Amino acid sequence: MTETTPETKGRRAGRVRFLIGFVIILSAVGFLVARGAKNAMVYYITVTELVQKDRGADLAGLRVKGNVVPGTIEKDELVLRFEMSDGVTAVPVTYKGIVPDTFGENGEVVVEGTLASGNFEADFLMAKCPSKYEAEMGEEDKGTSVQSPKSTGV
Amino acid sequence: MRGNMIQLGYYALWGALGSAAFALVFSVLAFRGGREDLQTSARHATWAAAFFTTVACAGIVYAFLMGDYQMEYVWGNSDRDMPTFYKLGALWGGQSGSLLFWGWLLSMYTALVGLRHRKDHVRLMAPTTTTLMSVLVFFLALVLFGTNPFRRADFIPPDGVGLNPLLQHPAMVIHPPCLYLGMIGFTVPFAFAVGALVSGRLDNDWLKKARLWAVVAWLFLGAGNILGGWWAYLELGWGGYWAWDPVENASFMPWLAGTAYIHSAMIQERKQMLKIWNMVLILSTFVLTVMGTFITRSGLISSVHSFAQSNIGYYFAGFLLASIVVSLGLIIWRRNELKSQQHLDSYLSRESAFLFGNLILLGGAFAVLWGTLFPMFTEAIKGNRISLGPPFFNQFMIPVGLGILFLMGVGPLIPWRRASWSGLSKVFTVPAGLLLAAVAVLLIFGVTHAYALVTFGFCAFVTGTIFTEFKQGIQARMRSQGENPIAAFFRLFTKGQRRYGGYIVHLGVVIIFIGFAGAAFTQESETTLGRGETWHFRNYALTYRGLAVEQTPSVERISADVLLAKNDHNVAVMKPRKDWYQKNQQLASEVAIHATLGADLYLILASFDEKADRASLKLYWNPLVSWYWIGGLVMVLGGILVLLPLRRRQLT
Repeated sequence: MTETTPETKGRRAGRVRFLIGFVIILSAVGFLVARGAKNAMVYYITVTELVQKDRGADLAGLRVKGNVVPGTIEKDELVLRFEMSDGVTAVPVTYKGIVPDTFGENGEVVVEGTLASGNFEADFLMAKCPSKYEAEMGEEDKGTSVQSPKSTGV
Repeated sequence: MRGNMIQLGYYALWGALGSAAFALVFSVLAFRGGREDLQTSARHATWAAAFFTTVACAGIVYAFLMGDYQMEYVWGNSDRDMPTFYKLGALWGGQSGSLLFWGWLLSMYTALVGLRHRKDHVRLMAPTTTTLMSVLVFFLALVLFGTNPFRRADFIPPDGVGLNPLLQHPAMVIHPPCLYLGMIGFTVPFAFAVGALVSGRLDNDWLKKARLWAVVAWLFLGAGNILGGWWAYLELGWGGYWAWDPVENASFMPWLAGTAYIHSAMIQERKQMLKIWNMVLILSTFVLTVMGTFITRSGLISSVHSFAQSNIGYYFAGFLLASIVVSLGLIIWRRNELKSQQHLDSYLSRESAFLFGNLILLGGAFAVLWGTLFPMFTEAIKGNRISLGPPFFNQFMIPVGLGILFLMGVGPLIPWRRASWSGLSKVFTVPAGLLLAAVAVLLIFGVTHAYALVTFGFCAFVTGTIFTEFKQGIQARMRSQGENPIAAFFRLFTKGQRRYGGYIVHLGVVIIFIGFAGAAFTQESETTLGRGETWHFRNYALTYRGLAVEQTPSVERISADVLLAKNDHNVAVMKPRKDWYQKNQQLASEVAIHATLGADLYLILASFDEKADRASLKLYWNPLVSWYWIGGLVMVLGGILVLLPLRRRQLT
């Protein structure tokens, strides 16, 4: 070892340097994370909450979860219309874009967008297939891939 | 006969659990008495465990191949029409099978550790074996008592329900084992760390051993992540390869922490610094792999992404807690022995560049962790269900990634201990020159996207560093050994294998970042075309020429025939299609991709009208995506170069 300063002094100075670097990087990452969280947050609400409280007006990012009402699916080239329900309330949804392969009647959907005069205009749609066998088996596939938002076109 | 084979697999599972427990007990005894003979018995028991888990996996694979649909796992994950190739992959297609597969890989790792380190000191190897066996016992117990893949129904169904068609893709057969090998692989360096802490043998010996296994795991984990992205890109049809899904984050976080460990282990090896830090890193990496497994299986996080919740999550939570408590306890117990012998003398030093790189990597890992867990916390505290999407992760991970990229250019060239500004300007002439040149050229060509400019600039910077390192290495060999430049270049890899293999990995990362930068320029568009109509997009022209229907016994494939012309020259026929799987009653889209080094044209058949002969198409223009795959390949090659036993031959 070729320390020029006394052992303890060098150690203390080294530790202080380490701590300063630690704090700077931690606060930089922390700042970036905190800054983004506010803008990127999307709220989940139920269909009933959406319709009754009319929260579409004051919140920009809304994610609503429900089930597709059978017999309401209409597809016109790139525009998809259907009704979704949480078992209590139903709301009509309009969506333009790629419809996930897993989308279907009775299936669970999550839509993101805004409520405009009683109609939910979705710019994002995520669907889960009504998986028959998984529920029956009482256990679940890894949960990867199939259910990830990727599969549905985020 | 068929039943017997499978029954055998089930008993083998008990055999594996018994052997693992035996190895666990004997390794503890071996440590307490410092008894080589007992450790040898323990080692043999780990080999027995590996044998038994192999038989158990073979039993399931056999059941899949035979089509034993009475076995619920086989029924739930395969059917008669499935190709044999996918039947092999169905072993890890569901929860219980993947857990058994997990156990099998861990037992194989342990067997290899035993084989490779059989002559190493019993005081280090015994607690290492104990740790590995504790983890194995946990997994085997989960399989046997939690979710048994050998469970049978009391009737015999004629056919299985099949594997989700989306998962029937070659990448899906390679990607999970690769990822598992990575996740599980980090148990080995963790076990060595525990072994070192328990035994007090905290010198460079354990560190070198742990580092080697960490590089193995790291390589598989990285390759697994990229393969997963490749599968998503080809199969999922949203035009990208990474979406910051909790499941992806689960395997990305340990990769980041593992990267930090591999680098700071070098500092400890050389400078006897950062001993506690390295312990914390390898323990964090392991904890993050367990956490990742917990996230993907518990159903706790992102309730939208997963359907059924299984109670397996609670076992993992307990296991996670135990790992954290035990490892932290051990570090605190050994804190005096872990004091560094040297210190950080200056911020302008290689130590500091490594350390900052470490901090950024770990900071990134924990930021991703926070973003992944945050929705769960807010739901528990405020009752609001929220979600954080890709924009959230991108806005902090892009700066984090750029920070790492920059330090990749600094670390290899900056001197140890204390550098002077005048010395730095000499060393960094080439990299800095390349950086400025790259940015200037891009500005001239009208690239104004700030992040893309910085990314390309840093890529040039790191390339300059790698070039300088190779140039200096080759020149040194030419002087001292009198070799010609080409021989010197190849000799670098046998003499300085870890170092120069590592630079190839860095080069791979640079290429990957070029792919990332391309994502800044992605464009998308959609339209509906009638037969013969042409769609103009950038310098492309896409002409729709009709639908084609192909019927097989299980699948109906409907594809749109699209002629692609670029700058008025026909370049390809693209056939995006939709497959209807009758049995699953499920639709699966198959995208068509025209890939070039410059950009990919990614075409999706959104919907079609057979009567009117019209098709709605969605198109993504993805510049530089190919570089992401190429960079991944280079990274893997570099990792293999690090691990290949090149030097051993020269010693003998």
